Amino acid sequence: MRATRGCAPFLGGECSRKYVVQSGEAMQHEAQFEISFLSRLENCLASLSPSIEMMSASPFVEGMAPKWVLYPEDESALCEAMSVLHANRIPSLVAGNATRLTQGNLLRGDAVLLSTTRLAQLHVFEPEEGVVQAGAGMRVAELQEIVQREGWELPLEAASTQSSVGGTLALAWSGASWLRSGFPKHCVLGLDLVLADGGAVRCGGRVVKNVTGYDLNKLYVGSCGSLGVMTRSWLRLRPKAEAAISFLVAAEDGLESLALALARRPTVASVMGMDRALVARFSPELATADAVLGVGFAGDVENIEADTSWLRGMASIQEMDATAAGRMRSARSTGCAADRVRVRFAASNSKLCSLRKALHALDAEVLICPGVGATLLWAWIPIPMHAASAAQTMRMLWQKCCDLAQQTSAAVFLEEVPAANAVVCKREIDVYGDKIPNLDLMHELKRKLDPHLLLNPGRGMGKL
Amino acid sequence: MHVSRHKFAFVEALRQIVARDCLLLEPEQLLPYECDALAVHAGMPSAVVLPENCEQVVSIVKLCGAWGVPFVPRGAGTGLSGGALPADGAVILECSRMNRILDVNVEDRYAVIEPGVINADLSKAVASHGLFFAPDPSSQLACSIGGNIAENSGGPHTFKYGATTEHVLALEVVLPDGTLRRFGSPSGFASGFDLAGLLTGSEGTLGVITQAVVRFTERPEQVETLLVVFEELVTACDAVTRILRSGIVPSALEIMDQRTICAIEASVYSGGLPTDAGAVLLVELDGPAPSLARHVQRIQVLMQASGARNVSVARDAQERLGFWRARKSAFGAMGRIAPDVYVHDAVVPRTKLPEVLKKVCEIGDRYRLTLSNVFHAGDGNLHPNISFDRRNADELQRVLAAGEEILRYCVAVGGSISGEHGIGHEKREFLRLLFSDRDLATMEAVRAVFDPAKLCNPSKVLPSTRSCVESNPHLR
Amino acid sequence: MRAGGNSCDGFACHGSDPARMKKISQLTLDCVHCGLCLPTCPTYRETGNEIASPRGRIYLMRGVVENRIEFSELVLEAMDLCLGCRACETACPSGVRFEDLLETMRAEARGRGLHQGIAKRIEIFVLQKIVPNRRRLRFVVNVLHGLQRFRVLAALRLLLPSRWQRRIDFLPPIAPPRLRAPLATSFVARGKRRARVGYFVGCVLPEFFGSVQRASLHVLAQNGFEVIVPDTQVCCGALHAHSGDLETARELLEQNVRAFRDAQVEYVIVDSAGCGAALRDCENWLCDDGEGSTASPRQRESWSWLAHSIRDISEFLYAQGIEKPSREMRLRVCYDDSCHLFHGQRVVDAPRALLRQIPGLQLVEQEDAAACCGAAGIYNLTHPEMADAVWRRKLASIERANPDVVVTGNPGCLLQFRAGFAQRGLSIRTLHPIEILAEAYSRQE
Repeated sequence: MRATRGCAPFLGGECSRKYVVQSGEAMQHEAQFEISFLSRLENCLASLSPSIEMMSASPFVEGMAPKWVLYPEDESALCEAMSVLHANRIPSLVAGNATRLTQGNLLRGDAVLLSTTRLAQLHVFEPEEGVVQAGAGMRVAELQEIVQREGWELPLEAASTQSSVGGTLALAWSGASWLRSGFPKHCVLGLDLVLADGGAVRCGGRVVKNVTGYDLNKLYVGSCGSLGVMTRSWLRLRPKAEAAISFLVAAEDGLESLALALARRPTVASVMGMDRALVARFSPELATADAVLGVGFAGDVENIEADTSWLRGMASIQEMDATAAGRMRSARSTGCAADRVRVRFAASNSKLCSLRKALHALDAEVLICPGVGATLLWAWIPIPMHAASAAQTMRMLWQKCCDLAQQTSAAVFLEEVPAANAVVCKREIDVYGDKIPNLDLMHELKRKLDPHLLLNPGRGMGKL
Repeated sequence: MHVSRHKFAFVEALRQIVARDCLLLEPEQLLPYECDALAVHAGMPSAVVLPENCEQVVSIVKLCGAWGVPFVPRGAGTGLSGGALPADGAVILECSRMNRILDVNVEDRYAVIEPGVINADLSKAVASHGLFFAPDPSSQLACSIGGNIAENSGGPHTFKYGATTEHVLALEVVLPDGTLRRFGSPSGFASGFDLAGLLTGSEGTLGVITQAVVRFTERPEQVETLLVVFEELVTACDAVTRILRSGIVPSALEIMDQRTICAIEASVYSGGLPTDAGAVLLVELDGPAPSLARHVQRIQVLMQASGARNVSVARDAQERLGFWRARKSAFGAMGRIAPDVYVHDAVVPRTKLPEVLKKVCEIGDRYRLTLSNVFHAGDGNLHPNISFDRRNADELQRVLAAGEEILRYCVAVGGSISGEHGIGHEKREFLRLLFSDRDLATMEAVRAVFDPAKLCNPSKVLPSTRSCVESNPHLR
Repeated sequence: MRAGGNSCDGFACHGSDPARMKKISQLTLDCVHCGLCLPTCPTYRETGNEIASPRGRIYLMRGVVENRIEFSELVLEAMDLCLGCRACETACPSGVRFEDLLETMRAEARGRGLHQGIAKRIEIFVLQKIVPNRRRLRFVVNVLHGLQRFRVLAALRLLLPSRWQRRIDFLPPIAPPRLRAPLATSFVARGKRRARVGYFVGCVLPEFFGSVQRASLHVLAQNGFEVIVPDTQVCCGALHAHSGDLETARELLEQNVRAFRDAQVEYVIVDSAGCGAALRDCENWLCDDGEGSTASPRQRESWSWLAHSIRDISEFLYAQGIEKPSREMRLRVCYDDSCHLFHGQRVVDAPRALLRQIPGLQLVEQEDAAACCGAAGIYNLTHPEMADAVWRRKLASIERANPDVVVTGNPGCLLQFRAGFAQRGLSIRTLHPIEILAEAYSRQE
């Protein structure tokens, strides 16, 4: 058994320091459970198969670090590990490549980080068929590269080059290219999962059209890993666009109207509209314009030509190379400045204007990514943080966001909080908040599938 | 059976909820409700209620809950898997009167509708805005959108535009406990779990849809339809594989075999299809005009290289719509071959189409049955139509046996037993071919969250025999 | 013929005819239950109720012949609620002959003595004793004319409950007897003779629609057709068949076959859609199983001849080609497909094409032009609520189209439109397509 145990396991030194230094409370807490946790783990380690390598901590966990990380080598090892954890009632934090741990709730001190990063095989890729079955730990970027070589594309956008397929699906991660790719859930044909007690289940299948039994794909995708651990997914590909090109558009005024008009053009694949403040942060060289649009086109050459010439008639544009486009796209997933929280809204296009105004009133930096009919909007909202009042401030801010969402019939999702106050803020607010409708049904579903609430405790469940 | 004991009081209570002509109790009135478009399976309802608004649905569901009476939501009864069959003497909630389009929001591309709105009517209502509702099941002239959502219906153009689930943004649902819920939002995103996505395709077993927010799609700038004629069905299937690999995404890829063509051409829906062809393949391409001509040309060349006897492009919209009217009447036109038709709905990996089709025909021959094929080739979604006469018991047995063999074969090659019709009453036992006890127990558990008393559309979707939950106490 | 009540079942029922039952059984087998007919059925659209739909009615018929349910009052009501518009036949991919089924089913009801009640008896009396007899019919119409003229009817109307007032309003102003004189028996073609055709007069049409008939004869002659109007012809029998009285229908048909055969014409032109549809499908009345066996081959052949000689006037003129009217008629015209033209005879484009030939005339389409207007023969009298509901839909779509004139090829529909527009206070004119064409020609002269 290769497992590192001990009290000074943190490889990401900085992370650990943050954790320890900034939360005396957490430190204390840690000390308290230390003994009980270790003794429990001791018991279960004895029964774990050697194929599960246990490591302590992870180099890529942001902000806070778990004490133990399990890297199952295959599905059966994962099942085994989870049944042991289940038997011992040890909670686990589920992660892919752990690039987005801050997305969910706070890692509880006694939880094990369960990473699917080693379940990274490409099980099936049929270029004739246009479907893949990928392990949850496979990087989206890598998968994208493989399928693109065969003339296909995967309609998923990942948070970073390291992000895994499983993690991307668990968060139902969407970015600017949702305009072309649609909702992540719709490319999922089938899933293999391990439930909290270590039982393997599947839903859906490999065929592109399937209505057998309940569509549990939809339930798992976007449930933040709180119902089960994804191990494999069947994904539907679609033919790669013949050509692609990106432009930068300086929009002096009427950011929304131009962005929405662009979203209706057939070859426009992604639109990102940024405020001046946001531009200043990501591309300071462009900060002269009031607002900036990044527009990606994809499709047939003639059609792109038609659309770009239409755009030229509307505004002055400048071609962007891949690096610049990539940098711009990364804005969406970039972590918060020290004093801001990042909240995602999804609103109908007609509500966009009023939502954006209301957010500006909160002094937020705003990024809009319109789709057809609805727009995704990210707001970096400033939040004054003093350790003493942080919790209350956070609660009030979240209440404002929820009210805004209600007024505009939008959906709201808390993505990131400042690392400095992560513990306090995350403890206060769940990703969905605790005021969303149908929370009772979500709790019931959680209890049915994970009766001891061991998976991602508290994450995505509104303080269950 | 539940009702008989206290039927009088129960019926009296129903009378308090709906208008007189919205409650059907006489055997003659109930008889036509014993089945949907799959007439082989039937069961008599104890009553049929036609609610006219959401409040009435709430009251009826609550009443049924209080009396322990099962209930079945029903749309236009065009389903092909017995999904609206009233099992256990259930009360039918016929939603045909809840058929108002409540709001059309052109800017945000959605409509708020009641479940009884007929699919084709919705597209008609927004045609002037250049929009349409993309899911187009063959029964779209008659079927209700509530039913489409319950079954997650497909259709020929699902190939490009996606099944119903991709076009449902939000739902208002009466849960079996009588609570009124809203899932999802007009943006299509949910705060929390995607319960609208879960409800879509749950075949009316998790609740009764009383309102839906559905998404519109913009009409493509240009549409071209190619009629490709083949001598052999299998050659047509090969041609489909080539198109899939070409990088071009048609909006629909449909194959009809000779027997189907002949039945259609004899009907009022004849579309000028060649009755001497072994099979025809309809390829529809749509999108921005500039590149479309090039794609059409490429497909033409590709089809000729694939052994097509003839490739022609529909001259105008009239001819194109004629092709589609013909295609969509296929199921009904089967009535010209024999009194009854049993249509299956298997899906296979698309590259396996040629071998699967060969096998399907072989099975049909072996059981001495008249089998015709008309299917969504692009999705690998087969519809073997078996014509028969249900008064002939022996033939009916052979029909069922052949159907089962076809399904088993499709599962064996990596396929599924339903692509768009749903599991319903008909295929629930076959679900075991695809899923383990644990998989099914998970589904049972999900169902129990919504419908612990098992009153909402009982005996559907999940297999009947021995409770799967026994194997896992946590799922209880 | 007295039935043993409705508690009897299936083939064994007193007054039931095994051949008829067999025919119903056979015809219902064509239905595969796909449901495409549902939204096209006016009564289903109103009620949302499966037994008010064609599929549901067929299911009931099948239930009756398979002895699963009784042929009860409720079943009969379901059958009688049908307007007979035949929209379901146009929608049916499987080719179910719904009207044939319905008529056979109603005949079965009649055979079993299920048709009872005062209203039904009056209906039967009128259909059997008055309508087929031109003298009696004329007498009745003259009496009505008198009542109308001396405002007796208007006074009576006020005494009636409001829902019956509309039934009275349905009656158009009746022309004085001299304007309703019988037509001449032949008309000479103008210019070069193109063909010799027969003209079907019908029973109540000469009494109420003299102007349409004169227009038809005028336009036919104008376009070079010699028209023969045999005076031995009688009512087409459609109403009798619809109500299940196939015996009378057959007798009337025999007379008509003889009348037109003797006249030695190439075609028989009909300007009433309801009569045309019935005559075209008259072979159904022979009842394929059993009853029809009494028909001799010669009889079958002669019925078939008539069925195939029938042409709707618009269809005929369009097919033969007409002299283009040169005078302008600046009108917004909305053509309304009468059910018996669209669904019954599949005449859809011809009337529109004819109207388009009139210079200046603007053809405006209404939504769902082929939907029933609710007239449906005497349905208006027997099912006033449903008829009104169906009419309201039609009225709404016409109002949206906002025409100056509504044109339709069936007299029953014309009455419905006239009464409906008058009640609503609309000044939309209603005309038969041939009237408008005749008007266009007469302006020319």
